[in-house]
Amino acid sequence: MFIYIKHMVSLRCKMVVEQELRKLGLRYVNVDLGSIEILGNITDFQRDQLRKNLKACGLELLEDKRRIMVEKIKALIIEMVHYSDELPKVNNSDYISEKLGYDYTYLANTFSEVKGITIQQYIILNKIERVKQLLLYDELNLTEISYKLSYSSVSHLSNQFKNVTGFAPSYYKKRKKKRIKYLENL
Amino acid sequence: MDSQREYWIKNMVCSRCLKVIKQDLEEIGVEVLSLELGKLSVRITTEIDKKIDLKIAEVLHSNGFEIAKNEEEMIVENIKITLIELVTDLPLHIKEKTSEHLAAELHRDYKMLSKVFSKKENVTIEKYFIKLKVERVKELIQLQQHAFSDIAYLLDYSSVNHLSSQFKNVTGVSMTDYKNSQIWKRSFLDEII
Repeated sequence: MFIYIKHMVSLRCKMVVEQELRKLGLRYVNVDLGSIEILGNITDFQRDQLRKNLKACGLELLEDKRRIMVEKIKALIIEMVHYSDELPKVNNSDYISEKLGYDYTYLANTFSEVKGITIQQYIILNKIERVKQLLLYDELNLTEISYKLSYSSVSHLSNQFKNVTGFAPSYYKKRKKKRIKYLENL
Repeated sequence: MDSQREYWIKNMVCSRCLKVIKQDLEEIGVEVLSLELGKLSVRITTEIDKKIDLKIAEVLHSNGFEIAKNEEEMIVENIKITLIELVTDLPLHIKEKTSEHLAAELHRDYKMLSKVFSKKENVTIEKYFIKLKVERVKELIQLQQHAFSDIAYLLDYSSVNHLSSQFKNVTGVSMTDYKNSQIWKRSFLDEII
């Protein structure tokens, strides 16, 4: 993969960068001014370390624009699903592209390429997590939950739930209750 | 008796150059008193006096530097460093002309500076500065954080058109083609002439 570094201008910059890469045990194919090709992937830990070390030399590791974008999308979805009382009235795609100010096709393509799943799938995963949580709270029944998370019907919700988790919502609830009861009896 | 010796060094362009020189000199046991772009001073003890020149020259050569031998080379190096510092800190907005800036920084008459520079490097200061700016533009395009109009503003071009025609003149490809080709043929700042 490629990583980009700011402020590289000379042979010495190249030498310093090569040194830092070797220190972290990263194998590189090619170190050019500004762009570096390394073998395999870089872990988040290595990336942080590399950023710190390069900073000490006056160089700057460039955050990939696409990664930043994906983080923003994720934060927006989590906020939307978990921390707001009701889901937006408009389409998810319209909501996201309006909030971030980019065309939805661009956002969706970026997200899928970086994360390996689509935005829709990511939203579904989050919604199911939210459903699980609401089931445990036991304040709302499944119909109310499906309404709250703007499913068209209960059966749509329970189908989706079963698809993702492998259980029907009622079974999930029962199992958790049993587990809680069991824990109480200990 | 301890004394110090100064060297004028060619081809230094960035803080990594300082780091590398310092590291390598300390490795061979030379005490560095001060080091800035283009200028090194080390402590000399009498018994190693003879060898130290060779040793330092060797370290510098292995890292792609050279020792400036006479005053003219020093002046040329100073001009380059002043210009490189100008394009390192963006946005580039100097109030006076480049020639006046150089004359004020180096306390010399610009005519003399430009004559020496052209004679030594076979290219005028103006042309060198353009190449330097284009090299910087290449970096900014590669990093993909700025639009072309922003880049033009950062490097104090009057318009994007001016920048893009100059870019094409120097590199032979247009900025858009350069960006799309993804082939970043960037040069070392000390080797752009």
